[in-house]
Amino acid sequence: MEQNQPNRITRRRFVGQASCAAVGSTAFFNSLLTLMLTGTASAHAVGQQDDYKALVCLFLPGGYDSFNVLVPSGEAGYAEYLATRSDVAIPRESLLSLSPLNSMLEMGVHPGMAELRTLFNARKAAFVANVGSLVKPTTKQDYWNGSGLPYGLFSHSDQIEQWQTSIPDSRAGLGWMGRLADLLAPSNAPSSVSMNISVAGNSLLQVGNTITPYVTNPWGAVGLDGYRDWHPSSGIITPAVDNMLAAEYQNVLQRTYNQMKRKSLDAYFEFRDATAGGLPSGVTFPDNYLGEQLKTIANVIAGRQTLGVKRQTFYVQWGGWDFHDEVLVNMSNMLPVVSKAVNAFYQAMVALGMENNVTLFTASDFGRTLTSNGRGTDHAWGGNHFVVGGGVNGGRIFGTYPSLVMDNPLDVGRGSLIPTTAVDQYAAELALWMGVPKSDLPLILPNISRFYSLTSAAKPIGFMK
Amino acid sequence: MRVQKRFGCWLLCATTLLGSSALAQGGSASAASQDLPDELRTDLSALLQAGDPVTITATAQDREVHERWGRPGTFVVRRTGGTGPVRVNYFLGGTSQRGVDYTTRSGNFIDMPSGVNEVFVQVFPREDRFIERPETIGFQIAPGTGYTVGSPASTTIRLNDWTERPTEEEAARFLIQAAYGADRETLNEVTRLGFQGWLKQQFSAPIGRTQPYITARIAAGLDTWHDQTKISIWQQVMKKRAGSSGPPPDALRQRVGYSLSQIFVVSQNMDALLVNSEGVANYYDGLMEHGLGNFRNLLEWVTMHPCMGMYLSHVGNRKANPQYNIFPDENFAREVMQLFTIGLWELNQDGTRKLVNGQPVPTYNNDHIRAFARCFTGFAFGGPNNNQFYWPQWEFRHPMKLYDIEHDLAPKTLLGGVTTPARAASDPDTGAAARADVKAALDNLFMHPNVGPFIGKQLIQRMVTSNPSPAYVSRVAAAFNNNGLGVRGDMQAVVRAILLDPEARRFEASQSSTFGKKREPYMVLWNLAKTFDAKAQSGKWDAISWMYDAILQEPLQSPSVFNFYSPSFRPFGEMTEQGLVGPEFQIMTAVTTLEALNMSLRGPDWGISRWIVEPPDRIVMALTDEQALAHDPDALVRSLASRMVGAPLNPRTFEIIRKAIAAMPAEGDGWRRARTTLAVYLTASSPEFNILR
Repeated sequence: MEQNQPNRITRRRFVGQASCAAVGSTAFFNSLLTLMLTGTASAHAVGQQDDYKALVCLFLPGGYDSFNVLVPSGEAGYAEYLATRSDVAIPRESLLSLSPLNSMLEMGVHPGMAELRTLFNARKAAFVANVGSLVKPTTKQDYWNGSGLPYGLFSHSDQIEQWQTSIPDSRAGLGWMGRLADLLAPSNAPSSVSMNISVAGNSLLQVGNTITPYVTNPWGAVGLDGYRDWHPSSGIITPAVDNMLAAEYQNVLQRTYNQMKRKSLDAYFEFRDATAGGLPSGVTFPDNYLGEQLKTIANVIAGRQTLGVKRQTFYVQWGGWDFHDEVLVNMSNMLPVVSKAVNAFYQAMVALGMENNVTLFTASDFGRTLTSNGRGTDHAWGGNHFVVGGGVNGGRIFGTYPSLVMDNPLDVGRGSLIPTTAVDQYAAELALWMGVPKSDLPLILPNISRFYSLTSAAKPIGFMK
Repeated sequence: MRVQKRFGCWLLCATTLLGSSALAQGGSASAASQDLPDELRTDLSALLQAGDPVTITATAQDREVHERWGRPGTFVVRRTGGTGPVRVNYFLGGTSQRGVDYTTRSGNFIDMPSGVNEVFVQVFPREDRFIERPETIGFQIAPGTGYTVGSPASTTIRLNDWTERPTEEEAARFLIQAAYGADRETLNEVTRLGFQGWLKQQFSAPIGRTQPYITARIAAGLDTWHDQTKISIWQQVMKKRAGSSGPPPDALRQRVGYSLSQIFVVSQNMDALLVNSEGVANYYDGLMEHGLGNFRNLLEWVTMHPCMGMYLSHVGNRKANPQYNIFPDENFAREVMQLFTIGLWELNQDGTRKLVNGQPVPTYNNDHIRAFARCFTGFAFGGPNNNQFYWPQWEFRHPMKLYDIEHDLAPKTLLGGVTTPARAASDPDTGAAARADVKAALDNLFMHPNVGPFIGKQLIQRMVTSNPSPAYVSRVAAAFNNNGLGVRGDMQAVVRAILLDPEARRFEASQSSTFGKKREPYMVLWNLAKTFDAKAQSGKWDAISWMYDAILQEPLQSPSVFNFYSPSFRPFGEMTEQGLVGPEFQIMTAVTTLEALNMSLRGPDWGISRWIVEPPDRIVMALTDEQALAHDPDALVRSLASRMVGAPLNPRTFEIIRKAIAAMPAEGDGWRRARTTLAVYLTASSPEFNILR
């Protein structure tokens, strides 16, 4: 019987997936701000969408060292890079060169990311440089004065939270994909399964006023043990559970409990059945945890018509990237996993004919210090991220790739760089692509107008077509 | 007894309502049969001719009922054979008198509708002033048309006199509210001492502190990550009396402290506190100590504690220096008002909002926030190794220290126009000026009339019911305002008022359609563990770690200062329409709902844990007493309902669970354990268990 336990996971396996304890946490806020939103969110819901679109957030917890992912490879640029990064620099000759369409800079990617380079050069992927959490456009003077800074800079939990809420000047918020779903979920057919789906536990990113994520994992969604399953007493448990759910209760709380439980059970079966179809033959994923997670997401996308959805978001999280030690070795081991799995996911979307309808983007707590601590790198601020999909304005590097010279105007110490693009802008670009009207952006990203004029004809960053 | 006298009049009024109101609550089938349309009634005899021979029997779901705890007893009229409607005649007899000793539905027959196999006749004991000795209520199936009387044809329920001591079910219910569930040991204490007596015992029980375990780990060179505070709290919650002469475990204090940790929130999901379990445990122990002390001391403890200083960023808070664009941090100033003392709106003593021209009145504005933020300047880490404001060592086990050098000394205007004077910095810097301002600020908040209803209502919500009546809130607030000896903020008086209030204690009050609260998901684990004497062979509680992601709740692990849920959260649907709140529903998602239930099915065999943990660390529910009842499904359900739910099951639920148990084999390896496991699981998945009433 033991081997039949569907949710058998060992603690070691879990700990292996998470970089640190803070990562497993969900936040569930209920701020005044968002309460105010509740009334307006549904009223602003966009009209019927006739095409399918989905966002996939690949969160790299722990703060991945993204200045070793996107690296200047020209002579002068590399010299600056090498001078600052010293013993954590990647050899110039091993960098995989990019040919960006919008930049004269010579840039390369980490040698472990050949598939990502191929996608980039095929214009199916783009980079966004030096993104991070900001309360407002921020100078070094602001930093030294402590004026208008995100709470808990350089702390994992705070910066994870702020990448997910995009409200770094408040401890009370909901996730921006949650608020996105508050607006967009009405365009989906009524379903017990949430518009926001996580394959990596409850993430604050996906919690909205009216939305909680549906959480599944690669070895199956959570059902009720003994209810229509393998359990030896299932034939007894199932009718008993059904009869209790069907019974009438005079107490309102008891009735509410029963209704919510019924809905939970329905969601499980609806989800299980919608994802039972599998993927087209020939689609393969790497045999590792990230590959399995992305395969699960591909399965859900393949079942989108059964679920009756037009809009979905997905949350996937992999690795622990907090390498104060051995940053070079660990990145060399882990970045290929990311590159191969992301490429497999893109190819699966091609096989489903969905490559233009699904966009994957990365996020992480923060960038890491440019300078070495002798063994690794420490917590910093802005970092580089990539976006993959047919809807991406690919083959380009967006934002401002910063100077890597020490003590430059963005450097607040040890090569910790003030972001030149806010998470708000990054999220806004993706939200607009999902069909949110520009005028509704502040409902999702309350601080957006500090970075981007809503009357501007240009896109917030430009990386989406 | 005192309660009894005090509310005697109220009781009498309520008792007269019993016959009609409570009967309608007696389960869907009996209600449905009474409401049969007339046309169906007249057709009954014709329909009875059709179908298989019908045999009718009588059983009782309950063995006894009590005048003191006026919950009904339920007779079950059961049929075998046939599916059509049938009218069953019965007699009520025994030594008691119908309408005098108990009330019940009118008439001497009950209609069993088509397709229904059992209907229920409920009897409601009436409280009288007489000492009568136990009486019996006899129930007998009488002959009638269309059925034969089978065996058993009759049964009885015992009707007990009013007693001073609570019944077992009543005591279990009390312990689910006031402690961590009905373990045998504490259950016996409560039935022996009574509610008042037990509270008195608990007020003087020694504090079960959580810090020593963490300190010992540090001494042993072990880690003190965030899961260690959970383990330490479990040790305290699960501890038993050490020998018959040992002091009683401080279950009430533990529960009050835990409830307060959901108001005065600090969370180890913040990195700075994640590995500092010793300091967080120290904070938690203070909540337990002052939770049954005075609220003013509690507020001071919270304000001065470095864990709060770190969490709401007033440690290192400096006076304004506009030249460098430095202003006092307003984080703590805002939350101490919004969440810890007075809330956003001026309240009446009963917790309702004061209205001026139909509009609620804010308790404070931005000027107040700024004034309080200025009072809360000059905080730095304390302890024996820190003696200056700048560059202190992190220290979470000792209160913060105050320094005048970074304290705003200018006058401030607090709530209600109270002002603080201009102060002179002490020299040498003893922080005296800062201390005077902090005292003034906390006194100002403590004296605000909102505190009683604001804090009192939230504690009611944590322990008893989500939607207390204004009168209940008002009685608790009155106890806060004055403990009877002229003392404000006496938390023992507040806790006593919450737990002994008739709205918390009387059966009739619990039967309101809006009474109750959803059991907290984490409390489900504790309740199951406590009720069924769970433990690991190794004695360790490590297996309970890492629960947060599965059920979105774990002590000291809130996602934000706004706790796991908001006290004003309204679930969608009927509760929103009726204006009812249900805080705990906020973390009831498609996933957590089922995860929490699955743990109750796995608990007996696989242990209480997020993932399978191998022995000897597997925390296994014992189920010893219950297994002895496995051959008798009625007795098993009765026993589980009494201790797990602390209130009667809907007769329909009772039958569903009874039938499921009866369908399980009564032979072969481990059949007793299998039956009992299933019974625990189904009871734990019932709405009666999940909604405390």
